[in-house]
Amino acid sequence: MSNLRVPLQPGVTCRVLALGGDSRIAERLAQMGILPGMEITVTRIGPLGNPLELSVPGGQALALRAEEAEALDCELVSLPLRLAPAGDQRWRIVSLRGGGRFRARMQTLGLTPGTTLQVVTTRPLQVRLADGRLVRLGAGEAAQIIVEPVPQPHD
Amino acid sequence: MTDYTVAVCAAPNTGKTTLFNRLTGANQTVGNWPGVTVTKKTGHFRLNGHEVELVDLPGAYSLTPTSIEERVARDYLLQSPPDAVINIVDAGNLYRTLGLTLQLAMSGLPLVVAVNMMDEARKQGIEIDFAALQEHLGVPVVPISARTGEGIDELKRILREVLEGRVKEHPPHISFPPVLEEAVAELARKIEKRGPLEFDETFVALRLMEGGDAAQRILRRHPELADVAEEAQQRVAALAPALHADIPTTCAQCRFNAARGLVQEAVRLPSRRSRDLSEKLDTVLMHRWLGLPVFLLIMWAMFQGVFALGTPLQDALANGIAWLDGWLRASGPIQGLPAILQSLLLDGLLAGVGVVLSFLPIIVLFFFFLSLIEDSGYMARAAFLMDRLMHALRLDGKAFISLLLGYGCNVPAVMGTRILSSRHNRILAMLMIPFSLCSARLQVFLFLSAILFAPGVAPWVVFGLYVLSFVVIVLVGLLLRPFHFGEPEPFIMELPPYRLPLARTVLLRAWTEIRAFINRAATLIVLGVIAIWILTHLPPGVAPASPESLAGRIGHALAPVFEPLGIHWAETVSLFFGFIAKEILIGSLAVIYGTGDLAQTIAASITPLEGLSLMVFTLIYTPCVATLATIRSESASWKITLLSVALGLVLAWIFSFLIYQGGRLLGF
Repeated sequence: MSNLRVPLQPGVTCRVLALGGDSRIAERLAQMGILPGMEITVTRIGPLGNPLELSVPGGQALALRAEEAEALDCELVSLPLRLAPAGDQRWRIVSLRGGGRFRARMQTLGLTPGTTLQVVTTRPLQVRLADGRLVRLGAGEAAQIIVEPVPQPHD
Repeated sequence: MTDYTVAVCAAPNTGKTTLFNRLTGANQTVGNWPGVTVTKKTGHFRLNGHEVELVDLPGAYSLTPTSIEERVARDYLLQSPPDAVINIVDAGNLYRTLGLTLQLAMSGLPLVVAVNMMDEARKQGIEIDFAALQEHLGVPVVPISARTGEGIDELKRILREVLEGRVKEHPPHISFPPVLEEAVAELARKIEKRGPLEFDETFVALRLMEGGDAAQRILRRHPELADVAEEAQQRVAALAPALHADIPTTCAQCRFNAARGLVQEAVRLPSRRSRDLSEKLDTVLMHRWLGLPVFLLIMWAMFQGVFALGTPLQDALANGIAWLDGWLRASGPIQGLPAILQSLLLDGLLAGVGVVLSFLPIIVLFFFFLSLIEDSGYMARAAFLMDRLMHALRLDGKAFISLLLGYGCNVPAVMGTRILSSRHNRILAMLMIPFSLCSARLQVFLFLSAILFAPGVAPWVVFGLYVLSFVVIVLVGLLLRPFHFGEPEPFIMELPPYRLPLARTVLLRAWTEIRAFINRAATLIVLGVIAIWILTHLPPGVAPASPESLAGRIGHALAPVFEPLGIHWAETVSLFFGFIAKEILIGSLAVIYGTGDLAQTIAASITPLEGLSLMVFTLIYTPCVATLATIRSESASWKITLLSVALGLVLAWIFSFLIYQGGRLLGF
């Protein structure tokens, strides 16, 4: 799974594998208790595209610059469907953010936590469900669907 | 006399300042740690008849430093171990703060752990088993809330018992990878054989393995451990291939593993966490599009608050000084003095005191608002929003606020650089701030441009000067890009939850800053003003600022330098006065030109182009004496202070030259 690129965008969660890269950043993060194995989520990005706000377990919020965050060796845990690239990769729905009406609509489309799907095209966003059905989603909807990569058989 | 020294050592955003204020009240002084740009705060309080000195160590995540603040804290604890340490942890997020706590507990220094913000944690439904925490840490643990005062008496009682040696503390054991564990244990045994230390042997062994500064600090106190230190380094080299990371990172990993275990055992989190206030506020304040406009609005309000309230107060103080000056001039004892002494006392000393006083209202207001913004948690958000822009100048987001405040007054802006992280950011901001068009300079520009330019043109001249000031700041940032002032530090900033600032903390801050300004900068300012008095009033018997005075002679000697800028002798002398405070420039021109209507005289003797060149020079040349004194006290370096002067003078000359000569070429 680690071959999947981790986009540094709001909603993306990744697991720290190693604190490589710039060793000063690594040292600092280690001393702050951010260590390999930890899952961090990008909460938001600053205006002008930088820095990033990250949240770590326990509710702590940290600001980090993108170029420094990229130096961390991270594997993708989950991301909003909107950011999932098109391809053979299969994704599983982890959670649906958003209110009851949104969930109900997703339910009628056959999208519930646990559903696996593939992204056929990103613009417009079309996904193929396990049963072969093709579903079209709006960008706003896709931002509220959190998916995790399903390990490929040959992995 | 101080009976005990106690240090407060805690991670940032744990309520350190609030507890410090709670314990010492207004009984505190602010200074710099020797040789660095880090604030040192000390205070006193009485504990059962004993006088306790409380030292506020800079915020630190760890005693293995990755920032200048952490280095200061570590060096203090290793070099001059206090009688006890108070460590503060955040009840709402123990894991974050326990890394440092474990390190402190392992150090063997007498320690009390205060679990702060209990009121907030209770509201969130967090439950903490203090007995378990205490048992695993091996040191007393006290639940407190520094904001409400809850548990403070108990903290003091426990602290007293610790100071009196009535509490047996046993450093916690943390498991390391076996190879490391073995090496540490063996080194610790060797250290133990050399006799008792003020630190736990394992802690010393780890510091010696860390090497570098940490080992040096230990060896400075205990040179007898030199051979163990050497062995430690050999062992580190031998261990390196067996470990995945370097020793400090490995230790951090082990420490935080222990912290995680401790949290799991001692803390019960509520089953459902509601979206808290901070998250809701951030959806607006940190919004991608709304964030910046709201930030600018807040900055505008702060600017208005400082200067709309401060300027009338400044004027009132200036009137008071003028009245005192008049009263003293007429008083018997002063009249009895020789004229030259009279002038030294009134035009030198009293004027200098007047300059110092004139800054007080602005400083109080500035720190009042700054501390509101900082204590509420908004400062980190502001830095987040502005970081991208400021990073282009190799500064971080917080520097924007310092630079912006410089447009009101350079002095508090320079004092405010203390909120920036890393020495590099502080020094760089300090060198940039003096080029902002402060309110004193604005007075000069409004006056001169109104005399020299048509009413339709004058506002554009002033606007152009604002633009120039901005351009110069960016230029200085680019010029200084290749230089590092102190170790570069990575940008990792915590965004603490929003909190309501405490009136007490905010007011104390303003009060201590005022005292610090008077203690640290006032003498230099008065000396600077007296130096200008000497230049303009000596040798004895000359008319002030006349061609025969020292300043006049220097002005003539400098004519070849200033003529290419279109600045004549009289204005050159007025620039000396402008060093005292830029707005004095106008008044001094009145003295130098002598009798007659000042506006008419200026209009008759300066062309608009020459006036523009003079204004540009006034904008950029050396910061005023108060700013320089503040730069000196904040940077703790004469080199930086001189660099600031040199930078200003050189850039001023270049820009004035370009504008004057360019203007002449264009036929103005």
